[in-house]
Amino acid sequence: MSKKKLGPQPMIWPHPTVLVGANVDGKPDFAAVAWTGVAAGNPPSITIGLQPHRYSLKGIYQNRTFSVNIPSVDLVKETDYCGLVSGADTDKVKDCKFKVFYGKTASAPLIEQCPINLECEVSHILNLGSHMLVVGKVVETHFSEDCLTDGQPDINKVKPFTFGPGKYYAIGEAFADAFKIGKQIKRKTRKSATKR
Amino acid sequence: MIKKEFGPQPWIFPNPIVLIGTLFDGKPNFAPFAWCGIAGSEPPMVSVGIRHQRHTLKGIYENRTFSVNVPSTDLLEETDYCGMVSGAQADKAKDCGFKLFYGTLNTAPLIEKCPVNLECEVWHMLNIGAHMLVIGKIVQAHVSEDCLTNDQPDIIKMKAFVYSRAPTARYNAVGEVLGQAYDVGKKFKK
Repeated sequence: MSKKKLGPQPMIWPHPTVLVGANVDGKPDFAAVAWTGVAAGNPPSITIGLQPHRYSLKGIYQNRTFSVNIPSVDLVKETDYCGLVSGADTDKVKDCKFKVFYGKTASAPLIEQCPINLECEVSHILNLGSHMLVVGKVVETHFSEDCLTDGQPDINKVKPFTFGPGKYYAIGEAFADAFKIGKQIKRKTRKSATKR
Repeated sequence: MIKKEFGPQPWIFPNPIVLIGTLFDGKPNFAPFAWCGIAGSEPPMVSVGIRHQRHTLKGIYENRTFSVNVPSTDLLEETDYCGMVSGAQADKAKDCGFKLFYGTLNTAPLIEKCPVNLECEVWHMLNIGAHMLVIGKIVQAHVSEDCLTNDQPDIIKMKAFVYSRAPTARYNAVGEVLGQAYDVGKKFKK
């Protein structure tokens, strides 16, 4: 397989797509962020990469709190819009008709329409050049009841989407169980090991 | 919409899935990670959360380098397998029949069959309790030529997949296109 060198490029695909919420000067604002990921499990922590000039970062500095809201495919237009305009000159909550609520932290605005809402407290902010990497400790998770099956989160009901190069993609069907499908290789290699 | 509280959970859905490559005592090792993401663009950076006891972390400490290999659905079984066994016992590259190559760094093994390979140098390591958050600066990206369209990476040709933990740990394919980014939201713009 021939490979092409593209120089240093941040290419992990696909990315999740989330709406990061912060109160800036007391007013809720939401920004679309794809450069995000899970950082740790105990304490549960997540990362978001934000350019230093971003309006939402101002709110994160002010309150040391923010939210991560996972939109469903029904909110793809609203999510894209939140990435097109700045909270400095628009009221995204009003434009997108987001119903905002608060949980444990009084300063991390949450979007009711998003199936998953994480309330976060800032634990680290790392200056990585073009972006500030904000590491947040999750203090509470809110999950829309209609996205649960037998009381547990169900991704097929959440209907999250991903960001690829330039486009948003839905999640396809589940085609394998994790920590299970690989057992076929485990069995194969074990067999050949006993033969040896 | 009624909400249920689950306590603090790291629930960003879905997660990408990548094979992190390292060299420990001269032996290449690969392990899958869903807890990863892009951290910055100039310089380009990635982050990966790795539990302290993982074999992968030993190789990262030894060389301060690692690779990020994005698998296609063709490598589903191999990817899952790499998460079931430890490099301390198994030779995963051999078990999976991975053909390896090296780029700019000679300590970050790359899997030829993976459509995207990123070579990384460790930039920061942040201890976050049970996990070490490793932040790597990408020094080179390799993309399989047959996954390019007009010299740009094409996610459909790459056949990337995602990991989700709900309701059970599973892999999902990437589905249909929902819209063009920085475009579908224009209808709200006044």
